[in-house]
Formats: sequence, structure tokens, C-alpha cells
Amino acid sequence: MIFSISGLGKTYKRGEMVFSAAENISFMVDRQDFVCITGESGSGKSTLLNMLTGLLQPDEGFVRFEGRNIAELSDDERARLRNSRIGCIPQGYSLLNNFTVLDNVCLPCCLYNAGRSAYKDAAKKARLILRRMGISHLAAEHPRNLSGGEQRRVAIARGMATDPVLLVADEPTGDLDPKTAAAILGVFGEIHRNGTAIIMVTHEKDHIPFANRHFVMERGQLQEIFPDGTRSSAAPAAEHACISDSFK
Amino acid sequence: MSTFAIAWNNLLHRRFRSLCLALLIMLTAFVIAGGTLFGSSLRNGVRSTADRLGADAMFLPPGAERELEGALLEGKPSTFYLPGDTVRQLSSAKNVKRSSPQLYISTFDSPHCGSLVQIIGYDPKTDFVVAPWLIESVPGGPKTGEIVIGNAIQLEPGEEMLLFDMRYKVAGKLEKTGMGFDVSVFAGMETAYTLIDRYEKYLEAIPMPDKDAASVVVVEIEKGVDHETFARDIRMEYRSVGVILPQAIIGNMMKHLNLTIAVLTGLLIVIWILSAFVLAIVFTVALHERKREFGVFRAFGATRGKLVSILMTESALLSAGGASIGILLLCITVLPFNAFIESSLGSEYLLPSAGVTALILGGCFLLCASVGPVAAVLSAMRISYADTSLIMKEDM
Repeated sequence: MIFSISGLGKTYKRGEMVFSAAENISFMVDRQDFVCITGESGSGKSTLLNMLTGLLQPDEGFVRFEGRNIAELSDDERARLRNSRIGCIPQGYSLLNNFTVLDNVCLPCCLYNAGRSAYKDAAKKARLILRRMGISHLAAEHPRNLSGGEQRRVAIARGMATDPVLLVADEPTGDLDPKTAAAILGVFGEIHRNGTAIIMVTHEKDHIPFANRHFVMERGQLQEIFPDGTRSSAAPAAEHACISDSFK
Repeated sequence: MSTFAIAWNNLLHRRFRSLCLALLIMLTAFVIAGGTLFGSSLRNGVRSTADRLGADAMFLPPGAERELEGALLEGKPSTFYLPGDTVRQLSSAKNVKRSSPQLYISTFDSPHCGSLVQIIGYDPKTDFVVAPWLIESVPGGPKTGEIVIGNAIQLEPGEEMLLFDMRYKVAGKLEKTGMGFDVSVFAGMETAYTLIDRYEKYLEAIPMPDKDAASVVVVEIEKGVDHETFARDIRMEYRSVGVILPQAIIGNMMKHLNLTIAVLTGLLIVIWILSAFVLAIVFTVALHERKREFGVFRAFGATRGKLVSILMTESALLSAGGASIGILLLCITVLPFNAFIESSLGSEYLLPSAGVTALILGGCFLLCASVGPVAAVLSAMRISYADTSLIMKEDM
């Protein structure tokens, strides 16, 4: 198990109104999981992802990543954890336009290791990942010269640069044409087959078959949709699940 | 990839903005370093004038104070006398450690004289004011028919100078003093008396009262004696004698100068604050534009500290670059014309020594190089406290 979530909750205030973006969410993700979370805009999907990656602190519950409670880590420790163990693909176009494609992919690797040899190693690895993504010929280009699909591939490559155990992607195919979206999903499939767990948030129902687990987020509540179409009434609390696992 | 490399890349990517900001800091550095150097030169000029005058007190005819100040500080030629017996009495006055008479003779603008200069007759045997400024010593002082010239007079030792239709050999030259001495001609008393005869003949001026008369007696006061008390005692004892205390002249100049420097300093502080303010606004606006960029950095694992260090490095690079260019520009465009500025402003301006100038420029560099990081503090704090998940969302 890579991480478990138990009783996660987050509320926001908008003026006088208080609304719940995440309410009592509990689930676990294993290394072999490719999780697809669907839901309408404003249902709380991005809030959930941000809590998973430690970018946002929950009001209730906890996220345990590889056994460590993220809430108990300092902000710097959470940042270092994201850098080394979690690959993030933010929503929209997230490449840094002032860096080349190669440097964009290298950046997470040499953020805390500024030496020349560290950069060389990172660049070597980045070229390998870009080749795997079929975009090695774009290494010297700047993101503004790339198409939407190419930019998404570079963002995925950057997410993979540090060999994360978990890849978290927020709407990775948003505003892409179906053909390009399918190609991107193919890349995710390959990453998953190579042993990286994936959590992908999407609007598109067509993408669900690419994943092996499907969750729906509705008004801050998360439900798993099983292959037979049934829904979990309330996802089992991770802590309980852990206890039951240990009894097995 | 180091923080420096990331910051440098960011600056290069926004070339126009970086250039404009560096230009602003460059101008700030130019004005602040130039202004500080100007103020220091003024202060230095006045201070060193006091040292250069060499005497603790000067006795002269009453009412001739302004003429003497003009001759000493600005090199305005003038002629005035103190009777010979008064000169003798003053030399042996109470608390006078040593004294030396000087005779001031003005040339005039005519073909009879090479140029309009102040001639100062002095007694090389008793002199302690002129000799220290000689570039090469003239043993026993200039002989009869010889002169020593100030540094700004365009003649060299061995050449001759026309004074009242007579040619006088230049025996020596003074170091640069930055005051009236630079455009004065010095002669022994014998030569000075022949010159004054000619002066009186050409100008039909009132003759010198007696053969031993002088214009000024320069005095070194005994140690421990209060200069003001000494001057008051002399004025009371010798009713027909005026006393100038060079320190008092300097004190007055310093008083005016301090006011000027205070205003100048105030203006420089305002300029620095304005620059910091403009930079702070630009950084804040830029931060708004760059929220997503910083959000992305956070997403792939940059700590808040890393973001702050990127931002601070960017601002420090901009400031250091702008400040270096501004100070370099000052060195290239202003310092070579220092001689011209000195001659235009007279004794009140003297560039400090190379070491002090370098220190001033170094200090100004640090001050101007700090303007960027100071201005970026607010933006850095906002980054530190910003909720990354929200700023990523805001930018959608």
C-alpha cells in the first residue's frame, strides 16, 4: 500500500457560506492501482488531490503516505516528499516557458542538487524519459513552440523525472482532442504497467476504462464504482482497513 | 540546477522587464554614488583647506578680511598693507610661537603681465606655510629675480614669467592645493619689494607705507592657547590689526556645507526609497503574473524557502548588475572630468584619496545592490504565506 486516507474533510468559506469540498473521505491506493476519479466541476476533486500531495492541509482526517502521516510533516518535509516520491501533473499548461523542454523535465531532479554532475545525470535520465514518451526530438525546444498534446507529454515526463511511486494528474487531457487524449492515456497506461501507481482526475467518462479503479466525487463525497456497477455506500475507513489487513 | 541558474534564466526570459529594472537601479546608483562623492568632495575640500592654510592665525589690516579670504580660497588677486612696525610688534606678541610676514601684490590684466595672478612675497627663512607645498625643494627659497608658482599656472621650472614687464625665472612649483595658492606666484621678499614698486608705478596706487611693511603675518600660536581668546587679546591690544582664524573661516564654510550636504543626503535617501518603492510595485505585480509559475514549482517539490531564495536571487542579481553598471558609468563619465570640476568649484571641492573614493563607491554599491532584495521582501513574504493550492486555482 502506498497511501491511505481516513476521514478526510475540508471546508471552505465563501463569504458567510461554509461549504464542504471534501467530507469523510477514506480509501487506499496500492502500487498496482490506476485510479480514475471523475466528477463535476466544483465537486472537490482538485481539493482531494491537493490534500493527497500535501499542498493543502485537511481540516479533518489524515493522509498516510508510505506509513507517514503527511499532516505531521513540516511544510518543507512535505515539499521534499512531493519532490522525491510523488509526481505531480497540475491542471492546465504547467510548463515553465523560460526553460527548454529538457530543463523542464530536469528541474525536479536538480532542485536540491545544484552540482554540474547532478544536472548531467538528470539530463541523461530526462532524455530517456522523453524518448519513451516519443518526444526526444523536442528536448531543446521551448514549451511555447509545442502543441497542447506535446506540452502534456512533457508535463508527464517531468512528473516521472524523479521515479515517483505515485503519479497524480489533475485533468491531464483537458481541452485536448480525442486522438491526443487517447495517446496521453496510452502513456499513462505504460507508466502504470511499469509499476507506478496513478491517480487521475478527469471529466471524461471515456477515460474510465484505462484505469483499474473508478471513483466518483459528488459534493465532496467520494464513492467507488465497482466493475459490476455497484457503488460503495461509504468507502471503508483506511485505518479500519489497515487493521483488518493486519489480521489477514 | 542552482537557485542562481534558475533566477538568471527567469531574468533572461523577461529581458525587457529585467532591463528596465536594471536601468532604474543603474540610474539610482549613478545618482547616489555621484551625489555621495560630490558631498564628500565638498567636505574634503573644506577640511583640507584648513590644513592647507597652515597657520593658526593671520594678522592683517582691519577690513581686509574679505580680500584675504578671496585671495586664499578663490585666488582673487588683491593688495593691502600692514605697517612695518606693526609687523615687528606682532611677531613678538604674547603666545606667538612663530610668525612669518607675507606681502600680497595683485597683477592686472594687461600686456605688462603674463596673467592675472596673486603674487605673494614671503620670507623663506621664517616661512612655514609655503615651503611644505613645494614639489621639489628650492634650497633657501627663490633667489632675487626668481619665483615659485602655483600648480595651476601653466609653466614649468626653468621657464620664465612676465610680471610688470620683467621676466622672472620659475625656480619651483607647488603641489596642487585646491585653493588660491594654485593660481598664485610666490617670491622672496626682495623680489616682492621690486614687484610692488612696479605695481605702484603702473597703477599709480597708494605707495607702500614703509620698506618693511607686509600684507599679512601668518602665525603659529603656542600650544594650549585658545585661538579665540588669542584673537580677542590681539584685537584689544592692537586696535589697527585684524585677525583671521582659518579655523573660523572653515567653521563658517562647514556650517553652510553641512546644510547643503544634509539636503543632498535627504534627496539621495528619497531617491533610494523611491527606487525601492517602484521596484516593490513591479515585483508585486510580477508576482501576481507569476503565481502559476510558483505554484508549479511548489507542485514538483520546491519548498517555500526555495521560492523565496529564487525571488531574492533574481532581485539581488538585478540590483547588483544595475548598481555595478551605474557606478562604472560614474567612473567613466565623471571621474575623468574631476580636474575640470575642481577648477570650476575652486577650493570647496577636492576629490578624496583613491582609497576613500573606492570605499565610498563600494558603500554606494552595497546600498544600491540592497535596494532590490529590500523591495522584494514583501513579495517573498507573500510567497511564503500563499496557499499553493489556491494560487494554482486562482490562475485557472
